[in-house]
Amino acid sequence: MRRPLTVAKAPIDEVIDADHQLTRLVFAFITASAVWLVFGTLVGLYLSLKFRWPEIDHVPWLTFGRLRPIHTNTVFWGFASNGMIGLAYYVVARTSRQRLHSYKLGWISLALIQISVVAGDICLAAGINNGAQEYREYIWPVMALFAGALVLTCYNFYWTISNRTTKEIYISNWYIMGALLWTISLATIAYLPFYQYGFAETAIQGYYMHQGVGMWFTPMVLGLTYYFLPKLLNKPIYSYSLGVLAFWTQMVFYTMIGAHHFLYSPLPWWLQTVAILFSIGMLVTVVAGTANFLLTMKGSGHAVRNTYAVPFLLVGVVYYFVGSAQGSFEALRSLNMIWHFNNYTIGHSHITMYGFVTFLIWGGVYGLLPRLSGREARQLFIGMHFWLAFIGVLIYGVSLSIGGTLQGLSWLAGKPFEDSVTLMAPYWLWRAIGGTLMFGSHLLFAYNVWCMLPSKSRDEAVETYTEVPSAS
Amino acid sequence: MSEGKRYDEIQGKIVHVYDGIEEADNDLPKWWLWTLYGAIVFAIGYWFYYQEFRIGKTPVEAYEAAAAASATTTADIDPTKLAEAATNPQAIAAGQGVFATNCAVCHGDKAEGKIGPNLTDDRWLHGGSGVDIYRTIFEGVPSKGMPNWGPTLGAKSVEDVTAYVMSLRGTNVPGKPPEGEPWSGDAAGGAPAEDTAAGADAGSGPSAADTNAADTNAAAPGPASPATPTNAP
Repeated sequence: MRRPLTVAKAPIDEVIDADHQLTRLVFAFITASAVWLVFGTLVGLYLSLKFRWPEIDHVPWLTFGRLRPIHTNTVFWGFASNGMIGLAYYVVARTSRQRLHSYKLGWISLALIQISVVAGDICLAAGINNGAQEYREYIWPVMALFAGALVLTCYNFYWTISNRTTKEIYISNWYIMGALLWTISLATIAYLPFYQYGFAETAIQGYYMHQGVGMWFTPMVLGLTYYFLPKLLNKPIYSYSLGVLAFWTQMVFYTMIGAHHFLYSPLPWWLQTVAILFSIGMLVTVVAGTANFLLTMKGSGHAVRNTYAVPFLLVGVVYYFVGSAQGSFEALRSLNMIWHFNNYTIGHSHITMYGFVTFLIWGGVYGLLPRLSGREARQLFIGMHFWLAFIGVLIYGVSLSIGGTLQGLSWLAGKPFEDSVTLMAPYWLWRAIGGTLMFGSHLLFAYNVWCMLPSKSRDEAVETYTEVPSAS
Repeated sequence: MSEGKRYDEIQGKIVHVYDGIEEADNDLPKWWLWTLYGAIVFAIGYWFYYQEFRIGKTPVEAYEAAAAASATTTADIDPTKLAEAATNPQAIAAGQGVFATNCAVCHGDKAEGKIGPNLTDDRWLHGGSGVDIYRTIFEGVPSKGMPNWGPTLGAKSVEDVTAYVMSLRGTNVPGKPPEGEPWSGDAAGGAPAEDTAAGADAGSGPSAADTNAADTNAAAPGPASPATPTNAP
């Protein structure tokens, strides 16, 4: 049967025989992730309305300065991190052909992350924060809980991989371990106080903020995609070498590019130039990674049409290329002059964190969860989730990219600031419209996760499932 | 795990198998290598452009160049030249054109005042001498919403608009009620002559400080300018 927007998808063809403990842990992470997504983007949507109706409220706890970091930190540490770590627990154990080293540590990690996000958000709302330092607004005792969760997860994964029964370590695990090790170092460097004053604080901030994206979200989600993409397509990966090259260039180039957030600042001029060179270098990594994924997908049009997880992955891979290429060019001095410090940057961060990272997480969730629980969500709702999110982020990205460019040009022309505010009004309205579509899709996602949760006993579910004819 | 030695139709020889995921090891596509070479060439070029040969300007150099450029345009306000322009029909006509496009939005089509003040009466918020008008237009009064038109229009157009506005003084077009201090340049007899004197006073005093710190206008909106007319008589 054909539906207006969603082609009828094939039912899942197998239920994975994973152990119940791991399944429960993965579902707990994904459920937490879905809850944080709804909360975090509700805050984001409210913020987008404030651009259009600034007089909407007069409550201190709902001021822009407090809600904005609540939005960013919630979707970073609450939604995306929970989602990625949850999927990684499965991927690491599965590709190592080994039981997870410790389930107990897994649950402790889960608890630590939730406590840190709850405590951090309450602190931010009450005005207790770490100063105006993007993505490290949580005060250090709160972030220490999060870092603790990463350390425990890293330890857990390390021993699982170390005790693997396979010969080599699969590339997903390189990425996942790389992301964990980098992010633990990064959080430590970013929060140690004794070298952070004056301009050194800004230098560290640039280093931290960009690596938070490029050393945590990017490698984690690429590692997961290296598992889910070939698995769902049931096809061989195009090239081992390309994967390895993309991995190592990511690890080397990305560490140098944080200073591109502070071009034309008193940071040393040579440091800025180095950051720009490596930002362009990242094109090599991004093209290698994208090429490997797309060449693996080549000739898989039927999989895109007939499954509901692969379209999410395809969108994620395309946005990986678009968003990252955009980032490289934004680092060039001449373009940075137009695009920095205005709404173009907000568009860019949503193209990458949403179009790229979030879509790949969703692809993994829709690919894995039904196979673990044997319960599928309604296809119509998954289809609606996909289209609302896809159209929403498209409107969001295009409106802010155009508006931000005009804003930057207005500033460069020396026009009064009010001009740039007036000219942004329609683009902010479009952003709110896109944001509303995106938020609507998140409600559907949460409901879909609810539908995919395992029933009372998983064995029951497996039995009911096997009656469905497999369509391969 | 079975060591895969299978040969895949599309991807070629399989080198690894993990949890059923097969991995081939195709050569890097040729076009991919070009992104690598391109990035290397770019890096070397960019480094030499900004760091070695210093062709690209650093922010300090760019700032100094811009400051030098703006200094020559605001410091050398010549009261005599402005006075001459105010009686030159060509300059006034050109200024009227610029006014209609840029200024009429706030000051009204006939300069009768809308958001901005009426420019045709004999009261002035920031001084009514030619030099004061020129400076108000060029540097703006950011705290009151008057943009700095200097960088947008350029010295020549600002001069024309100044000429046009000077020609409007005292024509008293009905519109927004007068605001600011009375400027009695005309009353004292002969606008051009008075202009020159007032301009010379103002020019020698605060202008040096003003041009070096255009920003201070925002913090302390024109303490120097309103003072000028009161000194004039």
